[in-house]
Parts: sequence; C-alpha cells; structure tokens
Amino acid sequence: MIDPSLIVDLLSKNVLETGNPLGVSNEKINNWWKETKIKSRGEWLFFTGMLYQLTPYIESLVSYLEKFENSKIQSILKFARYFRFLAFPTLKLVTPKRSVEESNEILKNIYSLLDSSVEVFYIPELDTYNGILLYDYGDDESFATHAKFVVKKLKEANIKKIVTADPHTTYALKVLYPKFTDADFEVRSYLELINPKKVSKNGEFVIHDPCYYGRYLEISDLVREKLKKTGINYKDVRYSKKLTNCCGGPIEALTPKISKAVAELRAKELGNSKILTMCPICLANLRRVNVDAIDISLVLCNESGRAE
Amino acid sequence: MDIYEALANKSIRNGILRSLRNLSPQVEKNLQEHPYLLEYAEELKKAKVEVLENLDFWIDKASKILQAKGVEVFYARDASEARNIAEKIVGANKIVVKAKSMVSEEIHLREHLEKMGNEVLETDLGELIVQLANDKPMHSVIPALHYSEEQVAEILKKIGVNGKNAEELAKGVRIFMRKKFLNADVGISGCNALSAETGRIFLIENEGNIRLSTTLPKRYIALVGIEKILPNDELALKSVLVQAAFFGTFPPTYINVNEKVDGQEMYAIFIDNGRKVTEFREQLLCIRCGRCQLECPVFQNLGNVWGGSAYGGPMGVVWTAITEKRSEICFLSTLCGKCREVCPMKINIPEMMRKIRRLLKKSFRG
Repeated sequence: MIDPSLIVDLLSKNVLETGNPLGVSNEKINNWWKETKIKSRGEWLFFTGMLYQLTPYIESLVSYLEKFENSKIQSILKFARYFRFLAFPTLKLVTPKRSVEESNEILKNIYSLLDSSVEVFYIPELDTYNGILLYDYGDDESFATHAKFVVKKLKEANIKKIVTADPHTTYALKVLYPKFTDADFEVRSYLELINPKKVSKNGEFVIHDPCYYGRYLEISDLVREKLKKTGINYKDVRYSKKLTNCCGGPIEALTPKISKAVAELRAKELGNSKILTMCPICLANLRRVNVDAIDISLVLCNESGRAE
Repeated sequence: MDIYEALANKSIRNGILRSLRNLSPQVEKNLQEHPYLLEYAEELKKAKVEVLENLDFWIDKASKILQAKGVEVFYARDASEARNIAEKIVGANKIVVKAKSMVSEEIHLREHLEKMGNEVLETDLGELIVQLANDKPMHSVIPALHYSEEQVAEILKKIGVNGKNAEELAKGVRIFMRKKFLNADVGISGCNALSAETGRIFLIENEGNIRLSTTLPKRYIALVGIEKILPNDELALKSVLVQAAFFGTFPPTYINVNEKVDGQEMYAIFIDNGRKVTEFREQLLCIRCGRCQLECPVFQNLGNVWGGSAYGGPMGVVWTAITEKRSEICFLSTLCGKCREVCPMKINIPEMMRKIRRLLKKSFRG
C-alpha cells in the first residue's frame, strides 16, 4: 500500500491551497462548457464537482503509482510532497487526450439532457471540486473547510437548487454538506431530473450501479425507469442496486493493484455485455481491466450526441 | 503472508467466492422462508445496545448467576491476563480439546497453552487443518476455505490421517479425535451468547465437536467476550439463530446450551481486551456471522490476511482496532458500504473505518 499519510497530506494541501486535488486552478481542467451553449440563469445550477474533469488525470497518476506499489522503489514516493508543483504539467503530458475529450463529451451530454428537461444553467466560476476524497480519507477538518468555501460561493450567488453529474458529488452536496456546513440546497442527480427520449442503440447493456447511487442514495430504480423510456435493452446482474459491488476505484490511489483486482471481480460478475456506468471513477477503474464500458449519458442521448 | 502474497494466492480468492456462491443464496432463502428472523435481528440489536450501555451491570449479573451455579468466574482485562488465567486452570502436560473460537484466536490461547507443555487440539475440522498447517483462519466461520482437498489430504498426514477423498479424510479425523476427546483433561469453547438470566452458554455448530469438547472433559473453560452477554435465554437463542441464518446454515445442525453440571469443573473467563472502553462500541453488536467478510470485494481478494492477528475483513479491521490497537489496514477499505448492507445488525462499518482514519490522520505530519 502506498503510504496513506503521503496521499492524504498531498491531497489536503492541494485542495486547501487551490481548491483542487491536483493542485491546479479549475480553469486548467474545466473546459467542456466552452463548446456548449450554456445558460447563465435558470432554476437548477449544474454543478459537476470536477470529478469527470479530474478522472483522466487521476487515472494517469494511478497507472504510475501501480508501478511503484510494493516495489523496491516505492520509498521514492515520499519525496513527492516536495515536487507538488511539477505534478500537473507532467500529468497533462502523459494523460491521453482522448480521455479528456471523452470526459468533456460526457459533461456536454449531461448538460444537454438537462437542458431539454429542466431550466438548467452553468456558471464555471461556481463549479468547484466537491472535496469527497478528503472525507473518504478521514480528513474531516479539511473537508469541512473546503465544503464551507464551496457553500459560501454558492450562497453568495444565491443558489437554491443544484443538479449534479456524478454520485460522489451528489452525496457530498446532498448528505455531507448539510452536516458539515450550513448548506440547505435542494440537490438532485441529473439522472433524477432528465426526461430522456427514445434512442436507437443496438445491443444489450448491463448496469453497474455505483455504490453511492445503489446504497447510499438509493436511486437505482429511478435510473432503470429512465432507461426504459429510451427503449435501451439492459439487464441486471445478481449484485445490483442495493447489493451492487464496488468497482475498486476508491482505493486506486492507495493500492492500485488491489483496486484493479476488485475491478476484475466486478467485471466478471457483469459478464460480456457492454457495461453502463454512472460515475467517472467506476468507468475508469473498470476500464483498467479492459472491459467494454460506457458512461450512461452517452447512451441516453441520440446518435447526434445530443438530447432532442 | 502479506496482502500482496494473498492477492497472488488464487486459492484464497477461489475459496471465498466458492463459499459465497454456496452461502449467499442460502441466506436469502433463510430470510424468505423465515421472515421472523429479521424481527429477531432487530430485537437482538436493541437488546445488545441496551446491554452495551450498561455493561458493568450485565457483567456483574452474569457473573453472579454463574457463580451461584458453581462456575468459577474470572475477568481478564487483556489478552495476557486471559492467557494467564487459562494457564492456571489448565496447568501443564494436559490434553486439551478446543472448540473453534475467534476470541481464543484473539488472545492466542492455543499457542500459549502449547508452550506450557500441553497438547492442544482444535476439534473443528477446518480449524484443525489451519492448526496443522500453522496458518491463520481465513474466515471467521470457515477457517480453511482456502485449502483444496489435495492440500487438506497432505496436511492431515501430520496426524496420520490418510484418505482418497473428503469423506475418507473426515472419517479419519473423527477416529483420531475420538481418542483425544475420551482422554482429554480440559475442554475449551468460546461463547456465541451468554444468558445473564440463567448463566447458560449458547453455542452453535454443524459438526458436533463442540458438545464433545465441552461435555466429555472433567474440566471445562468457556471464553466469553463481554459483548456476548444478553439479558435472557430467549434473546441468547435468537442471537444464535440469527447468526446461523445470516451465515447461511439455518437451522444450525446443533445448538448447545451449556451450564454447570455435576461431575465437571466449569470456568468462565470474561474477556474485555479493549471492549469496555472503546471508541468503536458499535462493533460490539457484531454476532460474527462472517457475512460482511464473504460479501466484501477487498476480502474476496485478500481473505483474512487483510486484518490483524485474528480478525480480518470489514468487521475484522474494526475488531483489530479494538483488540490490538492496530489500524492502518483501514485504508484498504473502499467504503463501498456492502458490509453494512448485509450485516444483520446493520453495523455502520464504513463510518467506523472513517473514524479510524480520522484518528490516524492526527498522527500524519500534516
């Protein structure tokens, strides 16, 4: 296992200093909206929590950490805390462009699906990392500090209703922020608000419920209702909804090898159909074991890539 | 074995998944056919919460009823005290037959008694295999799930048992153990539930070895984790039924209700070992059905190697924090919440994992 103190300390410092776990300003990674006709006013603020934007870079980092894990050179990592400023430029160089483009495409599709269903708007300056990793690693103090920073910005902008893109951000804003801050926003996952139309997609899909949607937020049935409306042919495996199994993603930075082994088990359970994911971490971690997986937003839209 | 060796050891993963495939549908069936078990579980949780809120009272009550029945009662504050008490009761150069007990693993009693010159034999087949292989139980209920039939055959040769298949091997072990049971000086068991009303000790099993271990020897020691105390017989019985159902074998083949009988010396050692003063009290609701282990994706890959010296897996990480004050292993959890979902007591293990992390964070350089 990679030294948890190293990962937790780096993460805390980066988030508290820059608002971003990679230690860079959000502008450097948040570009999906630049090619989209976004509205600046509406009923529901689209808040991505930066997870889709961060995931391609995190995956690149994990592929390197995997080489260090449990090797003779693992001790080198302890010096990483002194070279934080080098991390993002290097990561950007080694992160596949197509992964970044795919994340952007997913966010465009989610926005488009929302735009055809509710009064949605987006303000890039308000969109911030959700802080969930700090919470997961038990750094409640840093999580609370960051959450208060996010909530302050949103409250100053008079935001009342927030729609999110991924399960971790949904859980953070809906369940955790009210516990750690004075947040009282109405928070929904985009999957709860959209009204998808019929789409023409061939083949059979198998659903991988993320743990936060399946167990913590319990919206798995609702997702299936939406899918039924589109006419998409999907199936469930034994371990789905509240009993879904983890993709292994949450431990990828601490132990990429075990995280990958967990993904392998999950991939076997899901079988040979194309896997539908609803979380950037699930999508990335399942793909580490070479499965055919796709984000649900790319399926819910028509071939044009946009909701009608 | 470390976590990476465990990861590379396919027999651990295969054994756990095989057990999961066999037992998980059984758990569902048990709960569908006997829906009252879920009510029992709720009732049990409520009773356990009440006992834990007033543990001193219940320990005192249970001790007094046991003493009134002629049982000699001891209280061990930690593992070392528990071993010393047991050592004094057992003495040296004795034959000791021992039922499978996680609390005895926790205090490493078998190894200690062996050092004192006793011949100590695990009487549960799986645990005996683990003992002979000088290994660690890979699951709290199915200790030898990671061994193939061929490996078991090889291991059992150490006690002169030979056989071509599982049936023959089991028969050989039965013959071997019978002699030991009949000649044993001391029998040791754990305790699945203790009734503070009657001092009765409830134990479930599927092989029949526990009743032989606890009734044949002239001297019987029951190791009782203090969280096993329940107010009455009815709750103690419900506790073992829920434990069996959530493990996957319902009804259990045998339910033993042990108490002091004429002609046998009986001793009860209450074991604290971090339980009474802990920041993780919710874990004491655990009835050790082992379901959270089988259902956990990290445990499925690492088995009990992900754990402390006795307990592993989701519940084991928290038990290890309680009994060994060892905690960095909590970072291997994905916090996916499956353990809480399948737990009959709905113990919020992910939140306790986070709490352990929170406490550890204070020791980081920051």
